[in-house]
Amino acid sequence: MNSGRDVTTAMSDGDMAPPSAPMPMPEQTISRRRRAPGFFGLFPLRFFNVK
Amino acid sequence: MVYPRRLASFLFSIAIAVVASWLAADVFLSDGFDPLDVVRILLLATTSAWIAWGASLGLQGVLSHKRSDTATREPLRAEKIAVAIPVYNEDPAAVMARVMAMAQSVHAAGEGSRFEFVVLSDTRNDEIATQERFWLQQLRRDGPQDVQFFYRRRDQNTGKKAGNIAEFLRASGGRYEFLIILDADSLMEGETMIEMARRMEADPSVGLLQTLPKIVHARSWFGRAIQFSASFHSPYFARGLAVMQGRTGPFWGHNAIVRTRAFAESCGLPVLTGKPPFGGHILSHDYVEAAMLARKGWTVRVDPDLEGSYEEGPDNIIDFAKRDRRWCQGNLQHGRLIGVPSLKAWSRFTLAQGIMAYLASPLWLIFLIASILAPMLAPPPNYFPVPHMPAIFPTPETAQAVTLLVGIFGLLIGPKLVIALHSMVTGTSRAFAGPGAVLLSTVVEIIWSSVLAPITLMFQSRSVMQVLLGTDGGWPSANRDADDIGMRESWAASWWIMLTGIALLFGSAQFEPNLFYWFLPVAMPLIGAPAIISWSSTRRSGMRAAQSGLFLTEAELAPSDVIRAYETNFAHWQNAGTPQPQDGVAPAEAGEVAV
Repeated sequence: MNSGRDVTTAMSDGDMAPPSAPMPMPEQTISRRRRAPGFFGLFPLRFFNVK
Repeated sequence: MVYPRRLASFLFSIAIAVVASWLAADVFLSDGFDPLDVVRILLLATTSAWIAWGASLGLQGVLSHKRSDTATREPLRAEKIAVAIPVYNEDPAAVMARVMAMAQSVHAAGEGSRFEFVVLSDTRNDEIATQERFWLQQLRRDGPQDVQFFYRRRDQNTGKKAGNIAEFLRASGGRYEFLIILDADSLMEGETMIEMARRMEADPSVGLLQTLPKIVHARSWFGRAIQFSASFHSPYFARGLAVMQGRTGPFWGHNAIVRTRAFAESCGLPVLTGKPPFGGHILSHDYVEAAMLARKGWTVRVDPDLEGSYEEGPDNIIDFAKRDRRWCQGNLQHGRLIGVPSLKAWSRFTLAQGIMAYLASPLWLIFLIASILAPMLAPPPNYFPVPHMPAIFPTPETAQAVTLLVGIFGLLIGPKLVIALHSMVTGTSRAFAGPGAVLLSTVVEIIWSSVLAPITLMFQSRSVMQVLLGTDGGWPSANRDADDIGMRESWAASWWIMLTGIALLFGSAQFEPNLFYWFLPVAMPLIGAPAIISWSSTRRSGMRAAQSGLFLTEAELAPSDVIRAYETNFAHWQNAGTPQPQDGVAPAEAGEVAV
């Protein structure tokens, strides 16, 4: 099927980009509240540390 | 029904772990106690519980019925639905041929004007990017006129796929009520996409709806075996998962629809402190996004009854292992996220499962090595435990060992056999060339999985070790059109696996001859790894399987409209020859595509 739209002229990405319709996407908090270290706090594992 | 089912699976896994430990204790302690025996028993308990959990998912799937309560015939209300296709150095003609097929499909379903296909390029190669623009213009020229097509390429691929989607949402998300997230190799029927949107409209609490994509277009023996398993076994396992998930289902990163507002407000992923592999951008973002949506109160659901959802898979073990390396790093990185506040307990459990999926391999490997070393640490046999009585010789407890092995193997193959039986009884096997073909394919697939398992165990163990040692695997682009793997390439990728197999056999012969024959099923595939990898990657091996009636799938025997449309489009464009366009200049006549 040919849509009939003329695209034989040069197009930039701007012509092809989706229309602007901004939407907020806030960064989520993943840090834990600081508490007194319990028993396991004595043996910290680096991959359990969260930002 | 969610909690009783979860409880049943938990109890089943724990019971299996207890029985396995009890039998293992009998076997391992028969030559006296040594500390390695405790390690071996614990390892076996953990891994057998893990296998039992997997088996329970399959059995739950067999016991549950296909859900039909979610199907709806309401007219679609959403004005605009985006279909996002993130690409990263993919074959542009193949990607756009798929987009064309999906656009034709929504157009044919009469809802084309609601859908906008957006190709989100993170391609680093300028030549490929030029081709992407070229084919997009081809789409705009030849595609259905009621469907919109857009293209956007990022200068920097910050945050990889998750960052790509997020940047699109921040720039244009306000335009769309729903966003269907695909992969570059995804293919979906228009009716399926429309039904997904309808289901989202029918239940405003759903933030994400995941389909179960079936693998298509596999060409090698390896690819076809996965394709069969994904088409035949996976729906049962997914149903098992669906009945246990509650409102906290999975996201597998593609072939899913999200409520744009829910996704944007919940899934802005932070960058973790530190360097990769544990720091930096979240690599396996999908599991985390599902958990974040559930944290905000949105329902995340997988609907395995939604047909018409497809993807392609790796056609050889090396590409599979490369992808697995990336997933391994991403899943182990989740160790830092399990403790994120306010996550649902099931989300934490899902993250833990993802980690365990990779830790299981090195645990098995450690178990094998410990089994060779254990006799060296065993106390010298005491033939006279009771003074002045006749000598008592230690017995090898072979019966318990066989029971243990049969039990573990039964957990691995049992669900597959039950699924085959179920499909024969219910008649679903007809779609897979009938009961005979299903039974044959299932048996051969089980044997093939058993051969493959030690090899994937080695690749996964190496991946886990690399990640724990701090090596970042990067983000290699998917090789979706790989040719046969020659022996030279196969040898380069797997010589160390072969050496490990030889070492295992030599070690058992040297230190524990009783184990020699037990180790053969593990060591022989390892020793044969280079040949197995090479042979199973060839198109000839795939053709042989098909000609023998092996691994036939529904999508192959009766391809749906969108699959046929994609094949026609791609063949047509390929026959037209790969154009050499000027940057941004549309082709004059690169090949019309019939709609």
